[in-house]
Amino acid sequence: MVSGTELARAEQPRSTLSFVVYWILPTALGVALIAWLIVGVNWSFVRGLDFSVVYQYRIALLQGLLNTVLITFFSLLLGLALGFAFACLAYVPFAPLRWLIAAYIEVLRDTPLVVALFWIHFALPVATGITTTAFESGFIAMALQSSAYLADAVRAGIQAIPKGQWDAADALGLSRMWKWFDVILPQAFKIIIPPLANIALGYFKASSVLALLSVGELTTVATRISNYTFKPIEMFTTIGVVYLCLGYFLSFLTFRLEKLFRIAQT
Amino acid sequence: MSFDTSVIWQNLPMLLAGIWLTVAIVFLSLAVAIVIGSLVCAGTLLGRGFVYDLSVGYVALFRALPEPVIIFWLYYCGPLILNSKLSAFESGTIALAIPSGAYLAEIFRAGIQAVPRGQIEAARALGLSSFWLVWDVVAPQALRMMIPPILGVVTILIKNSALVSAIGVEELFYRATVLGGQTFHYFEFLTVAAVVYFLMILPLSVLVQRQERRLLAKVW
Amino acid sequence: MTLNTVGDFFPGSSPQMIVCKGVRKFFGTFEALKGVSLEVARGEVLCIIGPSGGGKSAFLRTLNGLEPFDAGRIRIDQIELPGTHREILEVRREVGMVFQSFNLFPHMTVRRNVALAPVRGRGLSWAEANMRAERLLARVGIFDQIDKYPSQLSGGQQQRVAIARALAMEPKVLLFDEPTSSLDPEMVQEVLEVMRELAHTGITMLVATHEMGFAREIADHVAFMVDGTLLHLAPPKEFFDHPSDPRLNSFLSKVL
Repeated sequence: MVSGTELARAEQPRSTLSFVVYWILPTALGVALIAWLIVGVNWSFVRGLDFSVVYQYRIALLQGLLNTVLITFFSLLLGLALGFAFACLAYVPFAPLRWLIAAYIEVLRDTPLVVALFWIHFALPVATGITTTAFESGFIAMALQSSAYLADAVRAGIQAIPKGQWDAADALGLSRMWKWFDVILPQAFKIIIPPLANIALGYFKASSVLALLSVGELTTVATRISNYTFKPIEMFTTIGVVYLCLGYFLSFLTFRLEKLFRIAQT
Repeated sequence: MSFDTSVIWQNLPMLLAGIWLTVAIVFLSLAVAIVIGSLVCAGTLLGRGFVYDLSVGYVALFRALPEPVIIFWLYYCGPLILNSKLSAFESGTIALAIPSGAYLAEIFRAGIQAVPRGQIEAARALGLSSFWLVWDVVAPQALRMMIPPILGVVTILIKNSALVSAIGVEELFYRATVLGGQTFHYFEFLTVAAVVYFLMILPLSVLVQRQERRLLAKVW
Repeated sequence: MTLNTVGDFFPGSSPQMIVCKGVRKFFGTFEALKGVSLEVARGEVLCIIGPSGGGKSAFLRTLNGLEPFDAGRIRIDQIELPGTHREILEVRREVGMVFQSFNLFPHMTVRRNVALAPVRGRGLSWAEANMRAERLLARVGIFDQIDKYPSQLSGGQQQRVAIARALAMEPKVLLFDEPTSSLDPEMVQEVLEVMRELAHTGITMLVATHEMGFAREIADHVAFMVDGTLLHLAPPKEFFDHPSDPRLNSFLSKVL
């Protein structure tokens, strides 16, 4: 049986226009790109790059990396807890509370992280007298903002559970609390993992924003060293690579995690 | 806890100038991002070859790099390694356009490939030339599907515009923090800034959610 | 196995509308068409029946250039395939196709669906094309839905619009790729009725179908296609009442 996709691949015969588009344009673009690279880049400078600075300051950089991982991990943990709470609260029969939570989530989603960060660090003390260190401000800001996205993800996960599960739990006479704990939430958790991983990945990237407040994560450290040694290329290229590796590693972990849960399911 | 509105009124021109610059950054970045996104998307549609590899690599690379790193790299390293003489504004705008272009490339590609195969076949069977095929059949359907995610990219762009304050571009967030520092009225200025960003993004967010709901309803 | 082969092509003087010789098509390593040879006269109605996956669809699609083929020759009227880009475009304008899944353009009204191709392909003005569309849609019985969108129509109505859309190009040949297979039973008749009326107008039609009653009633010839091979070709009476091929026999016994 020929697959539908194969039958559906209606080919257009070669015309002069398609020849230009498929061959001439890409080659021209490729040539232009290479030309720009040769002419535009200051190659003598590239030869003079000195990556020993990275080795010299490796301790500071590793500390920065550690801070990135710590702050992201724990703020996401708190964000997840908050997100779960909000998602569950969105189901209470009390309408004003539901509205409040929806509004809260919308506000957190629609403000830049850096604005929330500075607000917590500079405005909150003025308003409430609570002062926070840069690190604490960063932690709280990331936890709050991620909770908004995570609440959405959790809610989508809960909605993805077949209605039959709710009916079965009710039919068994489970109280609301046990219905949630034993039936709904465990299943929701498995569905949530892919979007959760996406959000986590996004926040490892976002942690870089905390550098604007000199929170002490990787980008902060790199900026400081770069200003001190006047070697921005070495520094920023290096942390660029580090972030890429971190992201790649996280994607790999997510893949493994998904596989694990798929085996455990049924 | 009190909100001193007089400070806001006194410095309103500065704040408005900041808002204007934010809007300018978003528009310019978006324009550049659309150009980049179209080129890269065209590259990914090739299916194979050197340009294809470059395009796919571009998308993967600039979706994974944090925006502050891109901004700092372009501003600090650009003059040295690329001999660029860009102002902070120009550098920041391009730095914001680069990852947005990557997102848009993916959105364009997904939209185009989402047009059902049968549509293209029917158009070909009618003897429509490639140009009219794209103009009358593919583009209208693809664009309709692309609008929610493109609006999503615009909201991300608005949020990221605050980051270029770090390299000295005097947009809204920069103004808010500087004025807050000068007058020690951080609370007022930062709250105003937050509210303005929220008001800019909220309508887009609502539109996106409504469009997504409508698209889902059509599919069913 | 070749049937009804013309020894050589006689360019320009053949009375046959469609001539195929030894058409082969591969999808990767799978051979979908194994040397199909066939002739269709002007104004003839040919129904192709056979099991799914037997090559009926693939064959129809080679006739209007939707699928390229790997060996053999096809001639539609005066144009030979494979041809230049311009020739293929011309073939598609002379050969109309009606799909199993209708494939109407969802973002256009019924009117525009039908009027589009003549404007883009034959240079008609929108006014002229609209008039043609109205005439054709009235003919297939959809005139009152003319400004609706396809999603607002039933399956049978959509397929009739699809037929009108194909007719708008005033083609010499109409290809039908299982036109009623996606329809609910109560809507099949309304589409077959339109096709019946078309058959009487003298247009050349090739119909891949499972509707045996229709084939028996309307076709000038019926072809049996299995595993990419044309196994039997005969007028309907002989085809259905005295099938000589054993595989055809077993197929008919299962479906009739």
